[in-house]
Amino acid sequence: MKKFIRRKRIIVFFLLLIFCFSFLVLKLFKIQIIEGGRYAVQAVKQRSHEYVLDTGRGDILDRDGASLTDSYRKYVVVAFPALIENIENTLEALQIIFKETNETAEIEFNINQGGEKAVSIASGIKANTANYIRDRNIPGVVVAQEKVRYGSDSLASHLVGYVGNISREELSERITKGYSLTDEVGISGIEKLFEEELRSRQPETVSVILDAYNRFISGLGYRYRQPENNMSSLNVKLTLDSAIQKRVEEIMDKNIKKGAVVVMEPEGGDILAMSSRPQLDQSNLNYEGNDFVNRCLQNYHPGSVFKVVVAAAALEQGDYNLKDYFICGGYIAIGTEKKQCFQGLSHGEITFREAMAYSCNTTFIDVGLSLGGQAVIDYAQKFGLGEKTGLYPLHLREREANTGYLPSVEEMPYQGHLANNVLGQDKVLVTPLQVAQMFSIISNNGRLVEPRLVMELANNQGLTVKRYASSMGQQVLHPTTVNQLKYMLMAVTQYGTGEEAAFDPWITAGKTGTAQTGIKVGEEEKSLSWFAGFTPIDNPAAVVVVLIEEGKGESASFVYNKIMSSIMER
Amino acid sequence: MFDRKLWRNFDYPLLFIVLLISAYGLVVLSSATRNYSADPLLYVHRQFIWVLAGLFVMFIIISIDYSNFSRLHKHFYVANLILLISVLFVGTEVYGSQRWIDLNFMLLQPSEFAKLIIIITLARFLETKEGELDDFKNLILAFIHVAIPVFIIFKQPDLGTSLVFLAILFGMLFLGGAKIKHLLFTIFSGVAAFPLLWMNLEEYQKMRLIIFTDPEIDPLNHGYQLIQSVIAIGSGGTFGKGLYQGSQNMHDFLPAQHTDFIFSVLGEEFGFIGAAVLLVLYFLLIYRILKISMSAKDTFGFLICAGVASMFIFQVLVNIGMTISIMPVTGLPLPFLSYGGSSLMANMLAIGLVLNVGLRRHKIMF
Repeated sequence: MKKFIRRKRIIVFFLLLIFCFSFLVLKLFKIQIIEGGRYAVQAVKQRSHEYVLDTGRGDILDRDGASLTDSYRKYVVVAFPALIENIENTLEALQIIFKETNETAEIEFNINQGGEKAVSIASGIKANTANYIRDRNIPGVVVAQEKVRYGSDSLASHLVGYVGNISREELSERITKGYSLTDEVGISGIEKLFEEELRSRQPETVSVILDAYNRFISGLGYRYRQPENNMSSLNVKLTLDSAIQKRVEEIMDKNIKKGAVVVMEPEGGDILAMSSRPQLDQSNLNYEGNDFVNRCLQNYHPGSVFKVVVAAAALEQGDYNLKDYFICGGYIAIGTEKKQCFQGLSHGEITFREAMAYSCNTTFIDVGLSLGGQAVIDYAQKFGLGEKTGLYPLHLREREANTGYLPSVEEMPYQGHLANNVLGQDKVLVTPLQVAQMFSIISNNGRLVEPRLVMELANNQGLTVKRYASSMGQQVLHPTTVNQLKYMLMAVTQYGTGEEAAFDPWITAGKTGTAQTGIKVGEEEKSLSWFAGFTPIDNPAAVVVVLIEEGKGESASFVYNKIMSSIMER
Repeated sequence: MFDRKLWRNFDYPLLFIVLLISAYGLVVLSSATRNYSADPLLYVHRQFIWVLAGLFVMFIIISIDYSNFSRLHKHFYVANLILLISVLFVGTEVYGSQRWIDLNFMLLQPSEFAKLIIIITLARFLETKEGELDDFKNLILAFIHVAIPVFIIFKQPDLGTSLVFLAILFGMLFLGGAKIKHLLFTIFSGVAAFPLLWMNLEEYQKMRLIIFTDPEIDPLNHGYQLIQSVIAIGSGGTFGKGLYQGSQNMHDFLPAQHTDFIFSVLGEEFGFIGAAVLLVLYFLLIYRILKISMSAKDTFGFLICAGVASMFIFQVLVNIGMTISIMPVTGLPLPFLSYGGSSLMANMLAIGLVLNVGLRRHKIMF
């Protein structure tokens, strides 16, 4: 009996032993095999005290490879708190150097700056000061050059977008791709669309490896680490021409408070410049004057610019001709309603071409009503309106958010509706980019081409990794129609509403537009002002679209003139 | 005094396992103490001498019939108390604890040997009460038997070793046939008495227990050991970083890496495979001890084996558990691996006792 109990107890004891040991093995399996990688990273990380000089994020370049963000390098003084024994002495030594070199940058050093292992304590110092500090060899202090992504001459800021700290939501989406909470990601624009390509693969750092007692691990001093070539991220090369872009932005700053300009090469559809105002300062996102909206891609009423669509429909579908005569009595009666022509003034007896030149509402309502809603919508579609332009490469096509709007026939049950839409009011909406695409059709003999913004992805050696071809385009208008339209649009700048757009010795074709916004400032309703056109009329250098929501006294035609003449002077 | 024929009963596998673990320990120790002094093998040499000395005393113990220890139990018990109390007066203080007596050539840690003496005296006590263990009074007496030396050790202060005594007591009572009901009752009353224990703990001991529940509370001070140890072991991965390649070990991120946290070095440099090999060796060690216990000729011998097995199991679980953060930091050495003469000698002696029991397993020879 005694032996029996003893045996039973030993068996139970032995089973408990197996249980406890299995538990240890399972726990070891968990931390060493399942989580081993994470701990390995942690082990390395805690020894390394590192300061990031360049995150290694790819650059956004213009068509010739020039940086659009005006990235630059500045000198920074980096301190490694673990290596500094006496802060006062270190600061004093630095202050003496700063005094001797008349350095204007300030030293800001608080040893507990967030428990960081390496901190910048002065930035933007002069080269002279930098050399001085370097020669002095102060323990725990090094001078290095840090990359600043957005400089003061950053161009096309709305289009390029900006980077910022990853949000918790985005992190949870991207966590499988190895993003961490401290990462920066593209928040808007190209920075966001091409996040995966631009994303930094390996940063450039200055670091020290220290043991648990903050001693250098033998043989290793300060290490400057460049990313390996095969680890570099990709640069995104846009079709923008930074010279044109820069000129456009200068002219806009002088003349436009709020508005948009698109410059497009009409044969292949390359976007040469795209700019929106008010400005966005990417290097100071907290500035209250910042405007984050890229107005080139927003929906607006086209106003009289839409008359080009009606004219094309009339010339191709209807039995109309440039020399047809119309009588403008200053208004047109639709049902019980009277639609006024420009400020109620009568244009008298005019030709169809003159009606375009003077932007005669009466004539175009008359033409539009007789064509019918469907014909007008069909031609608007031929011009690419109501659809995505195809600005972004195929896989990002869906990211073009605004496509303007074309009403269906059902949405215009009465003639009054159609009349309003013919005038580019009411339901019909377009983006400035769509208007550029529309005018490129007229300037390239009738082909609808997709605008191209992204030209290629290149590695840091400048080698093209991927090229985005421009579209061949698709013939949507008969060349005869195109010639007739050109002839009409020429009249606009020769003696019509857009005279200010013309400049010698070139002939300019274009169309003005004014649209009511429905927003009232005091008594007066605010209106938009458009000018879209191209110069010279044959084989034009570019199509330029100017939209002014809020100007500084000059018309859209005037701004067009300034931009286009600067392009032609090149 | 020593019959040559007894050698037929000698448990060579047990000795072989002990030698294997000790050799493994010397290899790991050579890495853990590589940067400690100008001679990178200084500590290994010392420990090696302790292994030899341990084997020597082990064979001396084996040569004395263990029934003599039963006879001398009173002397043992009293001598034990005297030694433990003397530590409080003439002891050397290290890291705030007074656990050692300086013998010039070594720091003797009497509490290590006290464990063995308690195993012997308790085995004797329980043997005399055999069959009467369902009497709760006897259980209380056994408890007091252990509680007196434990109280002195607790005052040194040495919480870990105190707990080893309780583990020995429970293991021996359980295997000795005490009622499960009674054992559970004492466990529950122990839990109920926890606040009393808490009040008598030193600040650092309380902190260790708090940190155990969440090491991140204080990652740079009290939680540091735990976090660094888990990073070391985890970063070892499946196969380890290789001998002398453990960065946590080599760059001093590990605390007490040659004593209490030697398993962290092993885990970092030999990985999961190396850790599993060690656990298998310990498992076999205890298996052999239990096997010998079952063949013991008397209850006294059986209980000695039970006590030694309980002691090793507890120390292995608590030490390794501590390094991977499933047990609080108590400062218990890992048998045969941690650097330290007293501990190694005591462990060798414990094995000697077990071999002794195995050697004299037959009541009638020939």
